[in-house]
Amino acid sequence: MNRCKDIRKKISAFQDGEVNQAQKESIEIHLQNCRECKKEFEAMMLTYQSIDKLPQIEHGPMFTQQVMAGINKTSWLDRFLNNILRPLPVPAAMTAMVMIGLLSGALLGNLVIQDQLNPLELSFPWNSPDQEIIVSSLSLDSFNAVPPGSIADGFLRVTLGSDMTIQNHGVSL
Amino acid sequence: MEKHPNKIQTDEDLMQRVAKGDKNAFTTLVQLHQKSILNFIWRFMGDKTQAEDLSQEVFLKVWQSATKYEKRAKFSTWMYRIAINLCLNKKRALKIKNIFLAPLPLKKQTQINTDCTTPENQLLKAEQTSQIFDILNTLPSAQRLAVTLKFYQGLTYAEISKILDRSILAVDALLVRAKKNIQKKIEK
Ligand SMILES: [Zn+2]
Repeated sequence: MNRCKDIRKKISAFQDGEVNQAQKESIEIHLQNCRECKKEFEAMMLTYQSIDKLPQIEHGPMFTQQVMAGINKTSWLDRFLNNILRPLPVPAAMTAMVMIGLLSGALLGNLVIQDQLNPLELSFPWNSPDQEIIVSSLSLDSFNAVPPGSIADGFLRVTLGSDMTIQNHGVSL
Repeated sequence: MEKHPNKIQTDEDLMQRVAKGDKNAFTTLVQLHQKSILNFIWRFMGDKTQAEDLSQEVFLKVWQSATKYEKRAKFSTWMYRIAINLCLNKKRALKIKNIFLAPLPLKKQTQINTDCTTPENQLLKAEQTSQIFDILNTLPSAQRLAVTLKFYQGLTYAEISKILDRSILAVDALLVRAKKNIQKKIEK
């Protein structure tokens, strides 16, 4: 009886050819002599028989060309982003994206404000009244919704293109 | 050292070339595996149109992720994992869609290209196919994957365990449960 229990545990693997030679032989001998286990094995054989006879389907003749057209559409940027960012877990990838966004925004902001800061730097140390005006106008600008030199300012300058639009945005925001 | 031009390249060799952007190597890989992957997905998903779309996605993913492929892993194992992820995502999306939309009646017949030319034979084949999918549809995803990989794709337990990231014992247990479920279904 105990023997049957051991055989039943192995019978599925036996059917799938996943037992070693010694196990295979002992199961075969047991099945010849045990009616109950043989019945169990035959029932198991019916499972695969019932799902056999599924035909093979084929792709259309243009499949390879379609795939190649698909990969030609995926640019080097997709491949780059996929390989650089995808291995990271989702939160890390999102953080990386946000960091890249902030850094590029800050960089743009700095580039944009450079024009306004340059006169100050050239005449350092600040000793003329003109410079005070520039400084105060800069500090007054900081009350704008989009102060010059801010990340938002840099972003808007790049995306919208002209100072005029930025001014308008600054007011309307 | 340059390889002999006549030497048959393994999938893994081809993948190293694909990782460097070699489209010829990629075409060869697609041609070698397209039929197998299409039939694997069809058996798992049960829908030919989905199988065609998903198999195309599998190859796009292979191309996009080629540099992440490590030669130590068998290419087919890696490709099956990509296919399974895409299939499971698709199944999840369909499930969500079905919550909000009334499910469409299942297509009973799938258009299949068979050698049998007579309409009677074709009908018989289609009926048989539909019966088999009725059986496979009763299996939970993991069991259906195990059966598909073992019975239709002819893989070993060891290979399936790598693809499904489970132990060999767990694969054995999955197949035992799948067979029990199939038995229950055909006894009805
Ligand atoms: Zn017995």
